Amino acid sequence: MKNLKIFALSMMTLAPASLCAGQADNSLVWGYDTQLESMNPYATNKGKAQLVMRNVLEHLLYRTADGQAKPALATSWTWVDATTIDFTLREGVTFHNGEAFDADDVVYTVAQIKNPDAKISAQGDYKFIESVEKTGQYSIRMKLSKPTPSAIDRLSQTLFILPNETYEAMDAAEFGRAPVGTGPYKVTGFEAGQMVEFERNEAYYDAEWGQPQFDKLTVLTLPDPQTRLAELTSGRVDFVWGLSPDDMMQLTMSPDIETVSGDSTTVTFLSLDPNARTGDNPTQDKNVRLAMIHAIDRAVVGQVMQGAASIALESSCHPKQFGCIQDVAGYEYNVEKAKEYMAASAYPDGFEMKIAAFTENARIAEAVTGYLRKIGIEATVDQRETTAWVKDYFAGEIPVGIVPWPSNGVYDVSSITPFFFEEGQGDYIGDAEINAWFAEAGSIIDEEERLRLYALGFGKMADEVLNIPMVTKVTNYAYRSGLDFTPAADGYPLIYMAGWK
Amino acid sequence: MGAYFVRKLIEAAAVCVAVSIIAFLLVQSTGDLAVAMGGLDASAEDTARLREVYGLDQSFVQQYLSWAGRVLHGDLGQSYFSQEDVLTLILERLPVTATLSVASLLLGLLISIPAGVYCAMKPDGWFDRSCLGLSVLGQAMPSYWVGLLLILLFGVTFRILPISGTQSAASYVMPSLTLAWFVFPVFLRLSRAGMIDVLSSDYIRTARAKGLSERTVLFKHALRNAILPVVSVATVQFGFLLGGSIVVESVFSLNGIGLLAWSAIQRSDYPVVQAVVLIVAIIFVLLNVVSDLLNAALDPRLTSEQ
Repeated sequence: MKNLKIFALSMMTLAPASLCAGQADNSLVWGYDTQLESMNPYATNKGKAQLVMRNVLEHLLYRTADGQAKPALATSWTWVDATTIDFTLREGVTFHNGEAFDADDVVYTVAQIKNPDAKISAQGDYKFIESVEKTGQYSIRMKLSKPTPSAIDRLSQTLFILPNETYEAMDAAEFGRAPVGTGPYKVTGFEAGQMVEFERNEAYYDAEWGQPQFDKLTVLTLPDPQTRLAELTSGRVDFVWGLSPDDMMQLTMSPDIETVSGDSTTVTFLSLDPNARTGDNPTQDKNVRLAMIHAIDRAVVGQVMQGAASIALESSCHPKQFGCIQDVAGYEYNVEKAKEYMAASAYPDGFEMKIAAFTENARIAEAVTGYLRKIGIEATVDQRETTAWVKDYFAGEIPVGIVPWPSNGVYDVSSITPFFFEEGQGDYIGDAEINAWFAEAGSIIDEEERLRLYALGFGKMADEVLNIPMVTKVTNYAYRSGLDFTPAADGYPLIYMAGWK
Repeated sequence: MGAYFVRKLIEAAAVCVAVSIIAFLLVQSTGDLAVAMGGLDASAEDTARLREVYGLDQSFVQQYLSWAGRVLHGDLGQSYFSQEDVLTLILERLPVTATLSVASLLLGLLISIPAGVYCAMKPDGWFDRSCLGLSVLGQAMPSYWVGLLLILLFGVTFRILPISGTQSAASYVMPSLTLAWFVFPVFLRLSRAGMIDVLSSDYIRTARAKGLSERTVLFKHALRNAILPVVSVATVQFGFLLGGSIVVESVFSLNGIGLLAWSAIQRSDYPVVQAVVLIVAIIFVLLNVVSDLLNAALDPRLTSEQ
């Protein structure tokens, strides 16, 4: 099947490309893998769906391609204390329908999100915000629920500002069909599940990052990856992302298509159950854990599954994140050593193991099973539907599982530790010391002390091999030659910053 | 006939209720809507709040009865994600799936029936063997692969057909061919077997002995009888096509109810899943009733036997 796929891709890439319509009429068509059922950002928890909405609705801040938080609807901010931030808002900004933007819109948006009866997905993303009060027509004071060092970074990824008067007059579904924002593009057409059409917002303010370049932008849903590639090579689509290394290799043969690999904040780790949360199991035995970590060639897994830019991890966090200490005990790929640890364990004859995974992570699980079989662990993949996996994992019913974690694109390990290593629903480690270190590090501002505490926590996790850090995710892009595009460091490309050369 | 009709309708209603209960049970047991809505990073409190807000903390029976009660009043509910009325979502997409299904069925019938007749005229000839070989291929090749090959040929290499979307009638050509390829073997075998059977019957021998032309014998006397099982199966196949076009809709990015159901299943958006299953089940069951009634009308012994 793989050979057939490569043959098919070769045929596609060797076929002559049609005239680049996008460049000719200064438009861009993005072949998208996610169905957009609504353009209301609070109706979805999917980062990919919200990425499209960023063309229309904006945050207080935005993130540059290299990961810096910069002013968007807020022009400046000041930390008053560890839980209070004052923001100055941009004046003279209007929403697409002419409604003026001011502090009332920010206050209204936060009130909508914090309403406990609101039907809002991912309300947890905003838990760090306690409240917002208006201190002037163009100034607000934000109170945080606890000291949140990553608050500024989070605000560059979350909190889409709604137009208070317009939103109040519409219901959520209506707004989802015809969203109104302050963003660089206006929605001119929306066909749920199929496409969104945008045109440039001619009244867009003088933003720090620049001005939108395309006259028109279309996001076309193409769920099947092969169809996306076919549309790219046939010329209907100008930009696609989320490609596999195989796809990238084949596309390099096409003269009018450029490929580029970018980073992300997503990491993958193999979750174990050293604390017997699911009951007695072999991963309670440190020798078994040591055998497993020596048996898996994580660098090769990353390169094959993600691409050459993938990094094999020593700690279960992204090296770009603040507090992600990778300078911990490392474990080489060494099958002989792994066998020695197995022989010294309580399971010298091996055992059976199921590795639970969902979506494309099952491929990583497949690779891991192959390595583990070499040391006598009869591993099999237990592939599940996403929500079934999440439900069971958080219920403490998955002793071994592949965990992918995007951190919501946040450059701080406090976006990962509370969920897996601080008595959160996903904590299978259950170590009181680690819990305390990480909890404290996530609630203080002193950077030096935070780093010290994270070093202690990740150090102990590595020493005890409490889970097996795997690899970082690489985001692969392909687009028509002539596009001026810079991959985003967090894996969420802001297409409105691109343009034709 | 009247009693037969009423009995069939009652059976159909019972099937629809059973299907809706099974679908409800499956969706609830394989996923968790609150988890899907909250996302991976939702805390236990967030998930609990979502359960409460959406009434997911009620028992299975309570949730089902609540849903069924609303359906009986014509309210299929709202998508938990887009907040859109489910009926609107389905009605927006049903024409796409219906067009695809009808086109595929007609294409499959138009190709397979003449081929089946010709095969039956010269059984074991080169044409017959070729068609049987093709029908084996049709059954063996997954729709996904057939779709990709068509895209490669007509969309990428020759660039004469659109690859995805529903922007024009031409957009339906490749998806319809893909599904027609899937139904072709069934109709070919049925029409071929039916014709071989009928052509060896006494009344056809008599017709030929009376000096009727071969065309009259084939198309006026033989085909009329041989095609009955094909028509009967075609109604059932149409139901299969309506509910089973998920893969083809995904490959060709057709915004039909198959794709809607697929994305809803992935998110455990059960008002949408339930409504799609119910509507497809109703259509499917009604088609079966129509098929039964047609058969009964053609052969009145069926009503008295049952």
